[in-house]
Amino acid sequence: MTEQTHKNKNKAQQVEAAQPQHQQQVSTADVAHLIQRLQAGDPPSDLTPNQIMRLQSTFGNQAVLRMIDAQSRHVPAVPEGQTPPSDLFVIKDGYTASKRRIQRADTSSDDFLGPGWAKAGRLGLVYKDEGVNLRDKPLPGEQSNVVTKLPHNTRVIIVKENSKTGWYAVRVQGGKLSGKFGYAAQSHVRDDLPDPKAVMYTVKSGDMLGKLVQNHPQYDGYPIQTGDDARSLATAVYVANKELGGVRLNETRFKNQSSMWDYFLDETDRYRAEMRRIYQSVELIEGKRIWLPGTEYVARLKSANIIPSRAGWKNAAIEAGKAIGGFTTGIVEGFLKSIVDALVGLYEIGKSIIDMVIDVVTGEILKKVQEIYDYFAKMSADDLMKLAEKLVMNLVSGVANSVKAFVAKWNQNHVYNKWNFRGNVVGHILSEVVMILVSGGAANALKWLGKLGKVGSKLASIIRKVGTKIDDVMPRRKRRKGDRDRDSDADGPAGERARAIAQAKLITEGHDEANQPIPVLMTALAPLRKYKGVNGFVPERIGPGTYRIVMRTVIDGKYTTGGEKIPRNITEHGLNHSFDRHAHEWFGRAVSRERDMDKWRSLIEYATRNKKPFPWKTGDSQTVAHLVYRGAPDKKWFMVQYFAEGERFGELATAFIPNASQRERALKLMGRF
Amino acid sequence: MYNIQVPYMELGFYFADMPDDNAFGAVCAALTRQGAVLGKRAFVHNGHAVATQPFATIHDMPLEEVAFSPSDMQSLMADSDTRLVQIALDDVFGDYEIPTPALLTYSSISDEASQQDHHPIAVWLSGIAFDPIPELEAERQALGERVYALFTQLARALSPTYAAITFEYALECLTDLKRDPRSLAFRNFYVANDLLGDNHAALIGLYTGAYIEPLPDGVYISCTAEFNPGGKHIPFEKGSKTVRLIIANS
Repeated sequence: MTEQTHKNKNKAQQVEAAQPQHQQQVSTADVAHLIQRLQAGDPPSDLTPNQIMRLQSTFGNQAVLRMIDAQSRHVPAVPEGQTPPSDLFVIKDGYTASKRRIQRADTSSDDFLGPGWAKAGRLGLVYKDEGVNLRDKPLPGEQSNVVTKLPHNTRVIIVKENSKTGWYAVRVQGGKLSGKFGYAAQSHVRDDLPDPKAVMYTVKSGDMLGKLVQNHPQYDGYPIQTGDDARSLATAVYVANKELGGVRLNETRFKNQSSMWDYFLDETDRYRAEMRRIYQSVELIEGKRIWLPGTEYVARLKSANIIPSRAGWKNAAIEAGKAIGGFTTGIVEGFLKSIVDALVGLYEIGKSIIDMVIDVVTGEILKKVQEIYDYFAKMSADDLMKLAEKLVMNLVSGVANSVKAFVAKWNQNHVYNKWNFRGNVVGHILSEVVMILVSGGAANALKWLGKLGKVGSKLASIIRKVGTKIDDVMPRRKRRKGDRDRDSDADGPAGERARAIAQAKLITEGHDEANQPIPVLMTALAPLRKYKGVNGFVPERIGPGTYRIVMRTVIDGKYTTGGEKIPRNITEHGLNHSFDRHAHEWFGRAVSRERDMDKWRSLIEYATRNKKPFPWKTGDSQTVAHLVYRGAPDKKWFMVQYFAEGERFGELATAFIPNASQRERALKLMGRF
Repeated sequence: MYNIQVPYMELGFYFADMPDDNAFGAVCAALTRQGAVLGKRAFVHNGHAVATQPFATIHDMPLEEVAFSPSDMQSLMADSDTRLVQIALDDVFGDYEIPTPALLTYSSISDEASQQDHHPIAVWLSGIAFDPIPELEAERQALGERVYALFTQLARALSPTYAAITFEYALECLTDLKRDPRSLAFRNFYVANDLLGDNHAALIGLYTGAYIEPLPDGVYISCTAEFNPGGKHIPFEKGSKTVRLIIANS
């Protein structure tokens, strides 16, 4: 460890200046009334976001947290898969508190936490040519501020939706604006993408399919030189739009446009004939919007061996297109529905990671989709029942609440819906894998998949590559070219640490001199984690306005303090302490030592096996902590702390379910973000 | 169940010479006098003559939730088949604009201690403002000031044998301190003059640089800036030494 001191300067003035205007919409009398009701033990269950914001600005974030907690006691159970408002409101989404005032790092409001908003978790696309304004509040015109303009074909994750007001709460997926959060009018966003990578195009006068697919950036790099691929591309566009309008087959036009020369060539080259038939007979309807499917979708359709020369190819192609589109979209949506909940609170810090994860998942899975698709298509009734039992019991109760319902949905007649459901199942499994990867690494994720039995083993072999890829994007301690001077004498880890300390010292002193606040300094120090063994920087308060900046290092994969390895002793003292306070939170019911203590101990042992310990401070006690995500059926995060100093060095301090902000900070310290 | 966020901040009060239920009732009454608002829920152990049986931890038996009002207190305490173990507080401070939920509870002790000693009585409330996040400093300061005021008022009113403000750590009873003096509870604490006896000066000497406030029957010592009006903050590494001074005359 190395230490630097840094005086944190108060930013109260700037913070006050940054109060959102809409907070003024709630009167002081309203606030007083709310307080009265709260004090009378009758917290309102319909607190509006504006009221929350106003209370927050008046009394501070923590105070409002307590109030929302009180409020949550009067609210029915949170719907399956949704995060309770109190959790969402923890200081995690870029809120900072200072002098009992709050400021948002993000300019958007938390209206989506209010009534009328339902969880979505699916992909959307800005489909109108003029784009759409991303707003800080779900209000039109001058009632809200435009955060940015989202151009045509911007992909978004629809996090929440409000069907009454016609707004989506969205997060931009990919591109320069990736991670940006705000509100978009539903009228400008389509959520019925035929496949996750599709874009929209408005047909112009004189557009021909052949030219369009050759010139549109959607297919840049797609090898349409070969006839087979060109045909697949045209077929895919036709299939994706056949039932939505925008395309039609015009055999008459095909015949009229054909010259004698064409017929002659067709006779000598049947392959050319079929390619020409589809190219020339698919007519694009001017002014209509059409989907241009992603290249993976096209490739899948191609590999499904739907060729236009076969009798009835159109119907077969449309059916195959529905199945492939439904399946791939289902995977992404199943994944998003789970991951949006599970990663809530990580938007600010983890936005690039979320994008990377989604990209890897969608990219890799789409490449592998045929294998999974084929496996599911040929799955025996026996295997299906086993899968249903395991999944319904453990994982996908959100998509089917009984084995019977699961099997019925799995085998339903509607092709798109059937494959969309199957994709959803895969997406849910993937989200579990990702959660476990975040906390425990690829090995644990594959181990978890193994629990799904034969089907799990099959999926594991398919997902293994995906899992490894995701794991690769999580840690960032990989050595990169230019990270350090390879000719240096101090070439080993000790040299790297020394270099990191020297740079940290310079950065800290510079920021202190420039009167920068702690979060800015932390951001500036973050890149130093590129040095091997450097696990991050933590500000530790040593007095009013004064902080000690501690650099955490990892030596041989073990967290150390002062060079001393920390043992892990689960003592009766720590066990009783943690059980008394937090076991009921985990089990979700009243607990007793006799019935639950063994399970509690096992849980602590399980968490302690996580190989990525990190420093964590509780009050005045420095501890070393382990964070794990416990997969289905628990689907909860769990954190265990051991004293890292003093007379109880190495003894169990406590164990609990961390809230969103603690989770985010822990993952950061683990080097996951 | 408790509506308190991790880490738990704990205000523990130990009375060497007061039966458990009396101590529990005394702390409850003192809190109410300070303005705390009792909630409508309590947690009890039920069983034949359970109130007369020793217990070590609050989960030796399943805790059963019951509806509660202050008027129930007396009858619950008098019922030998029911042990009142925890009472929810809607607002531990009482005079604050936004309520601070808390829980009044027994602290667990070892099986051995349960045969011969008493349970410290604790108030649990959310200590999340003490998470090491710079942006929480204002919240931390405000909460610290209020906790300091409440704790010293309760110490004045109750004159416990000793008491402490801790995070995710339970104050031990005397028997457990004697078994294992490595306590982490004595960073922000009160100890009665009677218990210290001749060791009073030695204890003060041990905490040079800390905030020291004499109270009518004892002394309040604080090593954490937020828990004392002087903003005094010193490192803590005196657990066993403090405990030895405390238990020397007991």
